Amino acid sequence: MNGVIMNDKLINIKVRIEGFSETKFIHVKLKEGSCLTDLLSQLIAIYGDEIEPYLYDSITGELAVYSVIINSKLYRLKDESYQELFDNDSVFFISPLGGG
Amino acid sequence: MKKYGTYAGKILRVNLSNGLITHEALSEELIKDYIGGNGFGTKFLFDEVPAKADPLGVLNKIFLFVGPAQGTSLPAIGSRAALFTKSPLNNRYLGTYFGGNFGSKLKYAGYDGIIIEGKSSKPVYVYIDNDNVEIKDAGQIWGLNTFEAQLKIQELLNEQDVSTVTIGKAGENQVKVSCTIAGVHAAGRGGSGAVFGSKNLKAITVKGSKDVTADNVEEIEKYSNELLERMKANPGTGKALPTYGTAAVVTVNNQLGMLGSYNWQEEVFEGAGNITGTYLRENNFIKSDACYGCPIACAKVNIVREGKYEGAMNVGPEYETLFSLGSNCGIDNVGAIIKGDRLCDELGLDTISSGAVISMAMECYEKGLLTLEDTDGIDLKFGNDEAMLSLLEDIAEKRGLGALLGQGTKRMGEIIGKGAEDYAIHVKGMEVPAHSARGVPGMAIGYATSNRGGTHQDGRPTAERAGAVDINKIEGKGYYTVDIQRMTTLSDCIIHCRMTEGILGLTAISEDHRKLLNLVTGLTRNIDELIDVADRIYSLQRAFNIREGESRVDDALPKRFTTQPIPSGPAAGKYMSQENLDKLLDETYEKRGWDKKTGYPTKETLVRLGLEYVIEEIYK
Repeated sequence: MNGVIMNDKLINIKVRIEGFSETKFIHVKLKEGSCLTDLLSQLIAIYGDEIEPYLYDSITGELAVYSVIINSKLYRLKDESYQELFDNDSVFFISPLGGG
Repeated sequence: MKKYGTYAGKILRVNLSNGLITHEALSEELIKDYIGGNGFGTKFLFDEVPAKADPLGVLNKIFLFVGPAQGTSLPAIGSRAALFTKSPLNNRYLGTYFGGNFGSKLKYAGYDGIIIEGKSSKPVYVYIDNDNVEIKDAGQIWGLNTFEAQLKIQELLNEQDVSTVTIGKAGENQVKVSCTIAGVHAAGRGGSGAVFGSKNLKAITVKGSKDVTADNVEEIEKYSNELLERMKANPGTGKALPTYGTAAVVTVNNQLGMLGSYNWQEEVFEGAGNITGTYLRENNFIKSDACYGCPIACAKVNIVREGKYEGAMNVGPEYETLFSLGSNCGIDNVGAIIKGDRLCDELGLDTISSGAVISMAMECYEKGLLTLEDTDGIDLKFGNDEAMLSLLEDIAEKRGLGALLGQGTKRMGEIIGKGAEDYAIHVKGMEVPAHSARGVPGMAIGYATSNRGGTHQDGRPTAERAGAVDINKIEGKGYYTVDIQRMTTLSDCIIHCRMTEGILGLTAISEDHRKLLNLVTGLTRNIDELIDVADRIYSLQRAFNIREGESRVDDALPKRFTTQPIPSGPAAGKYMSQENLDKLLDETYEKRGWDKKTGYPTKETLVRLGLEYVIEEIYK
């Protein structure tokens, strides 16, 4: 079975990254108990080069997004990247844009 | 060999009263102690506009400056310029900045700045064609809107390759929430258009064909290319801003529960989904537009494709306008906002202050402080987009209720009375823009200690909004904000666009600021020395305001922000109590070397900053 545990329960996460897509939400499935770091990994696994420029500085390779909003609550990735996600959570990545 | 980097070395002085046009050399003192832009503007304003001068009188002046970086290839920097004057909106120091290409053209004409003084007896415009400068009759231009005026000047001069900064009806009528427009870019805040109008000055037009020279051009080019690559690589400047422009912030702030709505009675807007960057991109977007030499192209040309405002088109609206004419007026019809944005640009109105006076009037109307008789029969409830649009024209024409609104929220409160002062959302007489003082503590103290008043360009919301700094922590944000204000003060000497703050330095004067400035000035300075320059400029602005009567008591926030918690949404319960604000004020004064009781820079601080001559001006 290629190491996949078939009875792993999956959760559905709605993701929005301003600038990434005209579509308002990306739907991502994660294993139950996953955290924000897992979500980032899954996004890169699914969308690869297409999504990286919206999250990472392409010169330094460092994550350039500082925080996300999960169901209207703010989490800073520096301190809270292991925040657990739950089924039907809505995650909004805040673009590090200046101006405004 | 050039002694000082990329400066033109010359300032133009135009006296509209007697027609005298002179040049003066840029002094070493100015270059070393004040750098450019904001520094030059502050120094000239303090030295040449006397205390208590009427902002719309003959003693006020217009100082239009660039800095050493303008006219170079430095991205998001080279094209910009700034206006300095005594604000007719709040009688304080005013610096207001704009993009496009005026700044680079002025430098190519051979000038680091223009000083306009006196008053013409008839409408005129100033035409600068390199060394030839003329005061020209504006009889055919007066009365035209800002876009028509720019085109008419090109026609009269038979010259396309010029850049113009001009006023519309609002400036001509000396409306205190007026602005100046260059191309499609506004020097928005504080009523600069009214100062133009008070001098019968319709426009300044420049044509330049000289080179900006330096001994280290290759080094500057190399650094420009490095910055360009870093801007492309960053998700903010490389992706979000190029795609949506500043409109992207609508979603962010609404998600955070910090989008000013209904005259800041709420900070979550139920109609936000109809005014976001995504919505505009999907429904209204035509193409992107950029300032000269800028790779970000954050400006978005939008058109209304259907509905009652079909056909309305503008470059914009920016985030601030989506708030001011949108959520804060309870309006989610993006077509109305696009049309209103266009009207403001044509009439020469500051979209932030114009929206703020309308939203305040709406609250006063809903609470019975303004009646149908006051509004000439307009049902001025929140959400009335047609009322918003008609009021913009009334403000510019000083017509009906518009004559009251055009004086700004502070005066509106005083004139309406009956408690209306509590609905006047301003700091020091300047309307608060679209960044929550209740939700973002650094922004709250940034507003309170701004030398301009309610502006988001002295304190900054970005680091807390994006999560680089803890948005929920209050203690220490006074010290933090001084670092931010040092950064913005220096950035405004460079006149780099705020869009690049994430590249050049988000929370303090950075190694990039140092490197950039040393490259273009030819000087060798460390960060501590640059902090001293920033402190000198900020304290001199403060001294200008002190001369006008300002002190610690003016470093205040609207009552709504210090007494009423955000009522609902993700940030519900947050506010900036007066007790906390006082602690943060103490922090800022301590770090700046200002007296905690009066808010004045201490004599010792003024001496340390080389401002001995200011002591006798403010310690009389």
